[in-house]
Amino acid sequence: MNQAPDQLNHLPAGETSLSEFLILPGGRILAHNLSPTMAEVLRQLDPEDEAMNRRAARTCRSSQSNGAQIKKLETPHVVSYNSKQHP
Amino acid sequence: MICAETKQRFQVERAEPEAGTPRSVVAQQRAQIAREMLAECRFCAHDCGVNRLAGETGLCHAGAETRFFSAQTEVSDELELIPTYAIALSGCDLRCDFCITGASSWNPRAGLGLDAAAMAARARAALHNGARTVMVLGGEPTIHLPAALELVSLLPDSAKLIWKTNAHGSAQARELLDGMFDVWLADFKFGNDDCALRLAKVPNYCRVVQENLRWFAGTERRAPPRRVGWPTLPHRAGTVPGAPIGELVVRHLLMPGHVECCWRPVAKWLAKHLPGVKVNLRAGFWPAWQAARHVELRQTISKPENIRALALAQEYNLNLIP
Repeated sequence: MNQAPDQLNHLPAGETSLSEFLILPGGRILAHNLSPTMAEVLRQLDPEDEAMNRRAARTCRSSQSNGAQIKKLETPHVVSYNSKQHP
Repeated sequence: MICAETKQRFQVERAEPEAGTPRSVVAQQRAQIAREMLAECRFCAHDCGVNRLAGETGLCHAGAETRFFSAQTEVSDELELIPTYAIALSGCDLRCDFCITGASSWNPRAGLGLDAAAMAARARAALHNGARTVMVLGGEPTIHLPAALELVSLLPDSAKLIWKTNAHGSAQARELLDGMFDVWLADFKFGNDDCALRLAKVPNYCRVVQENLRWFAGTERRAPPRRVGWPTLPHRAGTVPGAPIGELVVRHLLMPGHVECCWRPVAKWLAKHLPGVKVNLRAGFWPAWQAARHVELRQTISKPENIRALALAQEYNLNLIP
């Protein structure tokens, strides 16, 4: 999934970032190469997910504080991460 | 054994670095040495000995050029390391069928050519914007030591640098890496050589990885035997050759169907030989790349397996970190 505008991620001009997700039938989401912006999106999908909260809290700067408008989704999901499984 | 021809090749006059030499300067000197060593590449435990400068390739298929397939700020690694600016170099010396970046990790020609100066500028910008660390990974970065060291030479001496590795490097590679990184983020994927050979096509896996992990942890820091043609390496300010520098974090990617054959022996070994070492148990396996070649890898980790794996970690009193 290509990410939103560079400024959301505080990337140098011209750079984009890439995160990948695997959504399992039960609603669990596995993420790979999770960027700060996508961590914020996942956090908003399930604000009760403590693990994702901790990751989103460690982003460079809150995307919200940078003016990003992320629509809050209503469907609760169990958000997971932790799948960077390449060497 | 390095042959006489190599001896001549590596006998290059170099000034000994003065005491107090910063990391960046040492890295630059080592990068030059490492590049010459591509003439008989023995950076990983495959010990191919091919002349990559002349276009020969070994099991990793990498030539002299270094390419990268990803460079971005990420937050999916260990909490204490994120946000990290992760630079993923193309190519690897292992052939893990379940590699989530298999297309790029198996192909050293994937991605874009690495311009170390430009990449260092991007990393510095990320650090300026709040990244806490810079991580060099792959594929497997060990096969690109010259470029990786050049990159280190262009980064601030104060930057916290992470070497993310499959822990299949050689003693030669370790000597080049000594003192260059602050965190060794090392995989211990397989708990036995049969699984390693079947899933990653790598022989003698456990011995090699354990040797590397001991070195990263500083429990086995004997200087490698001096070999013919092996140059004297410069060392970083305030460091003693062979003395431990940097912290080890061991990763194990939990694989479906491999809790007992792989995770248990890994956990047991870590408990016995590296007690207290930080361990990150990764439970987010997904059946990527060519995982479907193996029946048990066509699925994600089940809840009972995850629970069992955590119980084993507790049984062996491992220091799990998120």
